[in-house]
Formats: sequence, C-alpha cells, structure tokens
Amino acid sequence: MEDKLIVDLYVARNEQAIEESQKKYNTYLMTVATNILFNREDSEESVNDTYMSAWNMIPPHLPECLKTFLAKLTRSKAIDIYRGKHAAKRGEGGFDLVLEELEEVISDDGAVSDNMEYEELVSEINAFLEKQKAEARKLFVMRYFYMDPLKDCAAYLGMSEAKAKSMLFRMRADLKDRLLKEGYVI
Amino acid sequence: MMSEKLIKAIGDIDERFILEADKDRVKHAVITPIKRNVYKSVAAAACIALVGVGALSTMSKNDRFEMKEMASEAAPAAEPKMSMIASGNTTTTAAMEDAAEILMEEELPTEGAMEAINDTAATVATVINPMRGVTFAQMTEELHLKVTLPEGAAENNRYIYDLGDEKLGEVNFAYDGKEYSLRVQKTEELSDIAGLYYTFDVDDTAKGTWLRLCTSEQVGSISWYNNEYTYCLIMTQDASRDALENMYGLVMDALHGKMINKE
Repeated sequence: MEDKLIVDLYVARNEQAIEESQKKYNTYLMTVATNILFNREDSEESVNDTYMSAWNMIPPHLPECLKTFLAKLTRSKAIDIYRGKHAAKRGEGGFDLVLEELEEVISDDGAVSDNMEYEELVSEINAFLEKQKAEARKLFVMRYFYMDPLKDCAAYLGMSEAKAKSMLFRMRADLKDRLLKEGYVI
Repeated sequence: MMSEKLIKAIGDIDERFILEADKDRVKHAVITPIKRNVYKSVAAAACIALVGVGALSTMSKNDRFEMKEMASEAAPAAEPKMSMIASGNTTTTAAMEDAAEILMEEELPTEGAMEAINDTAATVATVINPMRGVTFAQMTEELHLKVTLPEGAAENNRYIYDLGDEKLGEVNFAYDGKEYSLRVQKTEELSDIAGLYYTFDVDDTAKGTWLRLCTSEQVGSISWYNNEYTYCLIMTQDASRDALENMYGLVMDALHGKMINKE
C-alpha cells in the first residue's frame, strides 16, 4: 500500500493503518532498532512504541515520507530504551561507540552553548551534510543516523574500513569547526 | 551529555539524506526474520508441493482465506512505487551521487589525526558486525547445509550474517550475465529474509513459492521453504519474473540433485 494511503488511514483513525505500516516497514524498523539495542525484545518494544506514537501524532502531523518519519521515531524510542537500561554505565554496544565518536565533535571541554536551540543544531547539521560529497554524506548517515557498524558502512559503500574511518574522522572535525565558527561551541 | 544532544539532533536530519543513504543500505540489508501468520499458508504449500500431498487438504479455513486475500491484494496492486520515488527526491539523489563520483577523493590524515583515528579504530574494532566472509566449508559447517551453486554459475562471495542465535547464509553469484544472491536461513516457517525494502507491485504466492517484484526498479525475490530452511533468491538489477523463476528452477533442480544436501 502506498504511504499516502497509509497516512490517510491514520487520519481516518482506522487501525488498519498500524497493520499496513507493520506490513510494509516492520523489518526495516527492526534493523534500525537492532543497531542500537542489539536485543530483539527491546527492538520489538521500540518498534511497537513507534506505531503507537505514529497513531498519536497523525493527525495533526502529516508526514511527507512515512518511512523516514517512522525510522526517526524508532531511532528515538530505541535510544530512550537503551538509555533507560544502561543509565548507570556505558555498555559496549554500537550506540555507545557512536556516542564516543561524536564526543569528539562536542566534548565536555567544548560544549555546545546552552543558548543553542535544538532546531538550530539540526539545521546546522543539515547544512553541513548538504555541503558534503554524496559518498561522505551517506557514510555519515549510515554511521550516525542508522548506527550501522563501521565495517557494514564500508561494505555498503564499497570502500575499505580504513577509508571509512578516515572519512568519518575528517567529517567529525569539519562539523566541529563549523559549530565553532557559528559560535555554537564555546 | 552534549553528545547525546548531537546524536538526537542527527535523528532529525533532513529525510532526503536518510533516503539517500538508505538506498545503498537496502542492497545489503540484513533482515531479522519476521514471522507473519499469513506466510504459514505459503510454507504449508511449499512443503506440500515437495512431498506431493494435496495442498488444500491440509490448510485450515483461515489459511485458505489468507491465501485468497493475498492473491486478491497482489493482482490489482500496480500503482505503488518505491517509497523513495514517491517522496519526489529521486532527481536530487541521482545528481548528488553523480557529483560524488566525480569529486570523491582520498586524503591522508595528518600524523596527529592518525593517532586519533587509531584510538577510534581500537574502539570501533569492538563493534559487533553481523556480516563476515566465509568459505564454502565454513558455510556448510555453520548452516549444516551445503549451498552449492548450479553448474555455470560464477560465485562472487559468501557471507554469514550472525543474527543472535540465528545464522543467515548468503551466496552472491552471476549467471548468464545476471547477478543473483541466494540467502538461506533455518526458520520455523517461510520468513522474509530478502532484505528488500521496496513497494512491490507483484506479490504472488503460487506453487509453494513467494515471488515479489518492484518492476519499476527491476528488483525482486523469490522465496520458498523446504525442510526447515527458508531460501530466498534475490535480484537487485534486471529482475523479472522470468529471470527469477528460471533461476529458481535451476536451484530446485539442484536441490533434488547435488546442490543442496542437508548433512
């Protein structure tokens, strides 16, 4: 079923909306969640929460792209679940490794200004990505949005792990520079 | 923690970028098998076809109803397109990819940077990667199954995906100028192991097989269930019903001959 029709079902408060979303995107959303949680039960929980959130958010929100809308929700739910279960200390999962890498961009000794609005930060990241070459941008999204293991990212893009590491390192440094120049890092 | 703020912000990036990256991920996606009741009908039919028992006699009324529903859904569903195209970003994405091919070049990091990279590398090395290259012998041992290709097929590589307690085997090969992937996984019933996130305009279950095609993208798969294993033949280029069914025939011929022998 086309996304638009599924969204129409949500708007009409027809529970088939969830069934159709599941049918079309369940496996995709499970991979998004599993990359963060490494646990099938928790991943299923985050995906189920996603459908409930979508049910509650549509309407009034009408996503232009249902797939990415659901993926963003799942990612956020999975991070919340992960945080809830690993509040005391960091584990060794993919999420923590990604977090560590991103600490290079915004470290505790160079924190993002409290004045910086969340929307501004998103907008800066979008502008940063827009300027990247396509291959680099894809790599960044695979690693930091999907949280795919580095080896997988490299395989998806047909490059060596060393090259992927090097590109990510440069992008993190460039992003940090950008945030510094814009006064977002103090 | 500020890095958490950043990671959350990355979660809200423009959907164009997500879809752009997703296109490459789709080609290699690892799927956690889903178990949908509706597939029981197909699995039952597959087993029945193989042992030569009349299919309908063993299917429940519900199963028959589900099969009927699936057939009626599949036939008229010609309008869906890949969700990426529906979002209207195809042109932008293609242009960005073209630009990347021209512009992409490797620069070596400085010595200081290399140190930082090495630190990161040490951390990254602990990432759990579900995909690894294997030999024929390793795959046979791990899947308890010999996955041999039909005569004339040129094997490119073999992988095992570690999915928790489960393992999925994949063999990529070329035959008659076309590229195929054959995936095999031990499952309780026919499961979706194709790893294709397209909107399929063909979705047929017949003769014990489940065939899906996205004709606009020429992507498709044909799956079947046999002796506790789900098999899935995938084409991500030039897919057509004929190509999939012909290769399925070759694989099935081999299945009853020498290609796949359970040990």
